[in-house]
Amino acid sequence: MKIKKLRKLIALGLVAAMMFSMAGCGGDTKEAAESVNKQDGESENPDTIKIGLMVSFTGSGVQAGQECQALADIFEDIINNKHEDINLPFAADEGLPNLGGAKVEFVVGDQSSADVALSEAERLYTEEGVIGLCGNFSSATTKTAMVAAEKYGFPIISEGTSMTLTDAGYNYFARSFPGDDLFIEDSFSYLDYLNEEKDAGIKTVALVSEDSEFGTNIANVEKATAEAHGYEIVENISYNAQATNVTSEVLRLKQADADVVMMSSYAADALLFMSAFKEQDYFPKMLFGQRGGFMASDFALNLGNDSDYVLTTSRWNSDMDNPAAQDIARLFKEKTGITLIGDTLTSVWDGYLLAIAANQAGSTDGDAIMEALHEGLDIPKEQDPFGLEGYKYAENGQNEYGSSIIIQYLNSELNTIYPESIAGMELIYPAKGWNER
Amino acid sequence: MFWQVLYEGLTMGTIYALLAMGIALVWGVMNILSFSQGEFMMVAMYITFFINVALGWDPLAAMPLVIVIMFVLGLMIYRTIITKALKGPVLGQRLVTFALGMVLCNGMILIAGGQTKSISQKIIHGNIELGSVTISKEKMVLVVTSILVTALLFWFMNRTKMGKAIRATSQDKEAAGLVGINTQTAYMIAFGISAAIAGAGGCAMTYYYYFTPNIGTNFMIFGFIAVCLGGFGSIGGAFVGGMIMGLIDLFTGTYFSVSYKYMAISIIFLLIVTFKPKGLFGR
Repeated sequence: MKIKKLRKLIALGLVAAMMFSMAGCGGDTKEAAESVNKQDGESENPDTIKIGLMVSFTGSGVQAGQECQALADIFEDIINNKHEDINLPFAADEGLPNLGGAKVEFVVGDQSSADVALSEAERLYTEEGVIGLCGNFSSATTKTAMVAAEKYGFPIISEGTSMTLTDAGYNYFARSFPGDDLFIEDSFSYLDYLNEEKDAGIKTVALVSEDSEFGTNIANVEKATAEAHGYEIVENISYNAQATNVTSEVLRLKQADADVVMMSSYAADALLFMSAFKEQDYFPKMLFGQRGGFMASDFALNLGNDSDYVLTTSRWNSDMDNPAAQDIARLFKEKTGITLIGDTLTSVWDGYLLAIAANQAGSTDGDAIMEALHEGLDIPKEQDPFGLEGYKYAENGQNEYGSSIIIQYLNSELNTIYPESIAGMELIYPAKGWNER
Repeated sequence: MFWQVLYEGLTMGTIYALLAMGIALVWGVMNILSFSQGEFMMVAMYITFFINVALGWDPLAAMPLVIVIMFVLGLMIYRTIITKALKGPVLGQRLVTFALGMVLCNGMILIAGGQTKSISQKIIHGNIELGSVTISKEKMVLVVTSILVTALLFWFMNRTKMGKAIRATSQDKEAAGLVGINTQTAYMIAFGISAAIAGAGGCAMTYYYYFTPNIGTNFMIFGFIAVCLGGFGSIGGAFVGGMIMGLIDLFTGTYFSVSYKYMAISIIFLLIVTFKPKGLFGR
């Protein structure tokens, strides 16, 4: 009996201890996490600041993730070591000057799916102690990762393009480049420009979009924008990005014979469509992609000259006459042998912006970094690879100066065609058919 | 348009059939759901790619070698993994190939990276115009491969001693053992053949498809539905199931709506399962 009583007492004691510890944990989540984050001491000038880089470890985004990691290595080296010949912020110094020369380290997390992105975002902040997140997020993975950012109070800069991200009313979300609405508005404005200035005679549009959040949002905005600009939508196709064949989609497009086929696809399905176009001996007069697979390095690498005449919106292109852009493109090519694409650069540049913001704030605190982002980052234009007018983030997180460009493939190279002020070549329209190439 | 859709439907059907036949064979003989059949196909695509890069061989020239490599790989996997799993509980038997598929997929990411691969220089390329029908020569490679594999498999299972032994083992393992058939060997050969079918299919698929280590997953679900339609364990059924799927896919997608094509396949699948629970040719 005595032993039984003793066991009961021990059990009660354990329960009480657990309840005390849980009560201790149950206070303010942000404060608790901050205490973990500052486990290296309360120093305002840490030796190293960590930035979370979210990439896909599995699925179709693996290649993009590997490219992001390679670029993050380059940025780490530029920030942490002296590179007087490179036109980027901190290149002439070692580390972040306002944080006592603190070095920058990119820590990689997985964002292969929305639920994984949430748990990884939490892990990077609470266990790795990152000051914020960047990465090649989709809108879907941004949505969950930004929940963690909001919960713990750390910034996330993501290029997820869905308008729902800026409409969510979150305090710690930021986006440096346009959302779907601006990309698509620019696309249709460009068609207007071609009709007015080049007498292109574009009247009909076919919309093709994969059916996840990425493609669905784009399709909705495209439909509304096309109608607003007076274009007739002759086909509107939604397909599954995991499809193993898209022949029926292409047969429908061939029959509709629109002046412009506007597509939102990931890498694998964009390539599958290109195969099916060739197999059916059909190529639209203008094939206009909305980034995604049409901007992936795999696209031209696998298609070679079959990628010619495809248009896509983008945030950046390696032919831009900008010293910072040229430096990064050269370093990336030397390291990987691959041509740097805009989506990779934006994903990791957002991490660079976090470092700039932390340096400007002189603090690694999430609120201080967000304040710096809202006030506007001080980046000399010649040191910005995108050559933007600035980086000043509105209350909804959108950079007020984010802008888009339009590029066209020719000889399997990406060439900027719009705006004309930075264009490297003129649009080729209509595109040549497969037999004329 | 109708003839083009019909041709494309049959073509797509033969691709599904290639995958489904391997699944049907393993299920029919061993009662194991081969979740890794898509990944076997992916591995074959990469082997074909590596041979092309290293030796410059066209996928068609590499096909016999790829089939042999995949057959041996199948035997090795059977001896090291499947034979052990067969001694365990049913759930373990069912899930072992699922785990194997994940290992193959992620292993290939480690070996080859996540970049999309393709074989650009091929002996057979271009289109043939037959009236209003455009026939892709690349896709014809897939069609011919599928028909040849099906014919060879039928011949092997019905005309050879080993084929008959495999069939006998699938019908009654104990009785087959009593009449002197080495059932373990029959199992092993059947698993090896299913991997070899994936080898032929994967090799032919490099003629048309761009591929990453994840490509197998995308095909698997269609392979399983084709097997369910045709009937588990029936190789001929798997072929017919694949053809039905291809035709529904193309006709629904082209004439109704692309959004409905998978729903149409699922409805036909549900109808067949409801009225013929063992599939069209299931035993």
